[in-house]
Amino acid sequence: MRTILSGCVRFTPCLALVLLVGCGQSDPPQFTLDMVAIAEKQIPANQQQKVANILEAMFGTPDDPFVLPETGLDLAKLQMAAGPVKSDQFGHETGLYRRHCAHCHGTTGDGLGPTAMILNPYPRDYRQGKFKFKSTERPAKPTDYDLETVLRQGVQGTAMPSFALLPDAQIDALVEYVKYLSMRGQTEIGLTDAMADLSEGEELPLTHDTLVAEILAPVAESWQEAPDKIIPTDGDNAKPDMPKAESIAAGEKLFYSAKANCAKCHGWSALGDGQTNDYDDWSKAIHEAEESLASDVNTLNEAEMSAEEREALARHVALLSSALATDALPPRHAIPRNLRQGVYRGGRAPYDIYRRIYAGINGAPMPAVGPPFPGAPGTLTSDEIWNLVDYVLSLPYEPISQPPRDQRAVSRAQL
Amino acid sequence: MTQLHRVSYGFVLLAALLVGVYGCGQKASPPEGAPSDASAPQVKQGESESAAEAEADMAEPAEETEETAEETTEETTEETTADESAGEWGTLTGRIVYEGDAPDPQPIDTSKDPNCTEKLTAENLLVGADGGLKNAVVMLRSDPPKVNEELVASEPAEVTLDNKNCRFEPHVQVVLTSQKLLLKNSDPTGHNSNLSPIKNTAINPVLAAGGEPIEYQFSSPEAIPVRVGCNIHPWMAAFLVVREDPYAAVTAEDGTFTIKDLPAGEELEFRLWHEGSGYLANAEYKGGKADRRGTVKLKIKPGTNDLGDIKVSNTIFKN
Repeated sequence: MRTILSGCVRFTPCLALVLLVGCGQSDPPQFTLDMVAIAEKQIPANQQQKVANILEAMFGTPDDPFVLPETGLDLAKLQMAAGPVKSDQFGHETGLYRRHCAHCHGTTGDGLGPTAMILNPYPRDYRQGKFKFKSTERPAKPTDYDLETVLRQGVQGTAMPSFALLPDAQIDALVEYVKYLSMRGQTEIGLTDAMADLSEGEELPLTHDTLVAEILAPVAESWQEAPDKIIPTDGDNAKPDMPKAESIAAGEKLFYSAKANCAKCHGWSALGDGQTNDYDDWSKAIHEAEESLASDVNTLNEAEMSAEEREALARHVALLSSALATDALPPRHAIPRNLRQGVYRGGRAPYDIYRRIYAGINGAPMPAVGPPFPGAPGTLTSDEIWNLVDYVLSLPYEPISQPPRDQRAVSRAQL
Repeated sequence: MTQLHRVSYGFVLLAALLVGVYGCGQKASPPEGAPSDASAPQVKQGESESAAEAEADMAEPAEETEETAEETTEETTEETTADESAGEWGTLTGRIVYEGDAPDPQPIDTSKDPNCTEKLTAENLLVGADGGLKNAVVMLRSDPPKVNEELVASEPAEVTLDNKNCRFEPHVQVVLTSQKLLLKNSDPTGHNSNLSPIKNTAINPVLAAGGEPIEYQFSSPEAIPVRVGCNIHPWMAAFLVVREDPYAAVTAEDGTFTIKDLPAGEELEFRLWHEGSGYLANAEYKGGKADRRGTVKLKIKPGTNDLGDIKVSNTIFKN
């Protein structure tokens, strides 16, 4: 410390350093666009600006959120979660998202907070509107209660902690804010998709019909209808009255069969060592962008083309590579769950496991064995899914799942 | 020396203190999770004028856009009314040609599943001996002024996407919203079909070996073909061209395609697409060139309209 200071004193620019470091230029935080998607969809700069402007008109800024009535969101709750962290009276706090969530999930809800890189699994990127652990059908949004459960209980086996100690009103505000960020993100995707569909010379009409009715409203509706999409675990889906041992045996048979195909990914050992080369939807997008970049660089270096084409391709390569460097996390393979550990990210209750098997996991490679639509025939019957639930929940208790005693202990003599 | 040090420390600390009090007091604290936007090319959120403009436009449901869209097509209709007497429908044909050397299809490692015994090669770019590009899609982009209902009625009620020899069959096909899609598994091993459409409901059912096909029906058309994957066998991929009208075709092995019974007389907008490139940007044919989104505008005459060879540069493909 002393040497640093004395070294510093010798140089007059030291003061300038203090001025700069001491007073980080703090523009109000902004939402950022998904530059990887924008580069991939080849959205030109003027249209990028338009997307940013439309989103700001629709959703406001991180300090000053705004919502259209179509979203069904409660602005008062959003204002409590948004903005800088502060408390102007006892027990009244604002800036909850930045205080509790943004360091992992990012200001934009893109899962790109400063700590994201060192976490495994990565924090959820809300912008695709895909949530894994929920009570609803596979493509449906989670209910408010589902999000609240994740906040209160955390996600076992991940860095997501429990926020059970927060007052109810704060949990409510954060749930609302996650929905807000997700709607904003999915609207951004809708806008860039619409931009990518434009022929040369066409413009996206800046009208209520196009922007709100066609792009925002379907996103908002999918959130509003979530409570109608809950997978029941009673009535026709109720657990059959069957002796436990019998159910486990039936589940075991299914697990390794070409009917349910669980072992294909979770492994013949159930250690999660089957198909391990696939990606979840988030990593897959980045993986594909990386492959596309590598191919473009190759083309740029080797192929013959006109100067004009070359310049356009070089611009694209520059944009995509900088987006991948700053707006993306290195893709990771989706590793199927090791079912012998007894760690269940989406909850350990039998009905949690039932819904996971029934609907699969949205955004993850895990497919569904239940009916794709309510009432349609599925790959497995409800009773068969319950058999699998019993088998899966029995796996951590099989003797083979427990480390042998003689290897577990280290004798003091060895030290 | 120490004297000087002490003075300097004092000065630096005082300066820091001053800065702390005056310089930083008013600004909001920076967001903890702000991702670096250094790469974002001058995308500023909300340049006040245009943001306000967008806001104002959203508030009032304007009808201007529809009018302007109609205007552009009107011009062409007027001058073509004479043609209509000759016949209502026209056929569009052509051949999509890949220009330049095509890489050989790469072999696929199927060893993860011992049931996948067939030797497979990648199907993402299949170029014939004479440059014909297989599995490219030619599809109508604009809303057709009319649809030949007889043609729609002649389409089968169901189409099948089969899982056979650990690949999808067919690799690319057209599915109408009026048709049922059967996701079938003819293999002795299990598969799943992960459909990720944009406008329709995403599903990802497991397909049991020897099980009944899973039924699906699209409710709205999709602007770009929907990818289907199998997570158990990640090399598997298929594409579904989802349409309300029957005006789309997938190119054959020699790159040729035919779209029958298009409404004649009006200028129509078509899109050219291939999985290896997305839109076939700047594709060239006799008398015209596609734009960067693979858009081709054509006025269909009654009878056969042959576009001839549509040349696509190999530089737009991902290899």
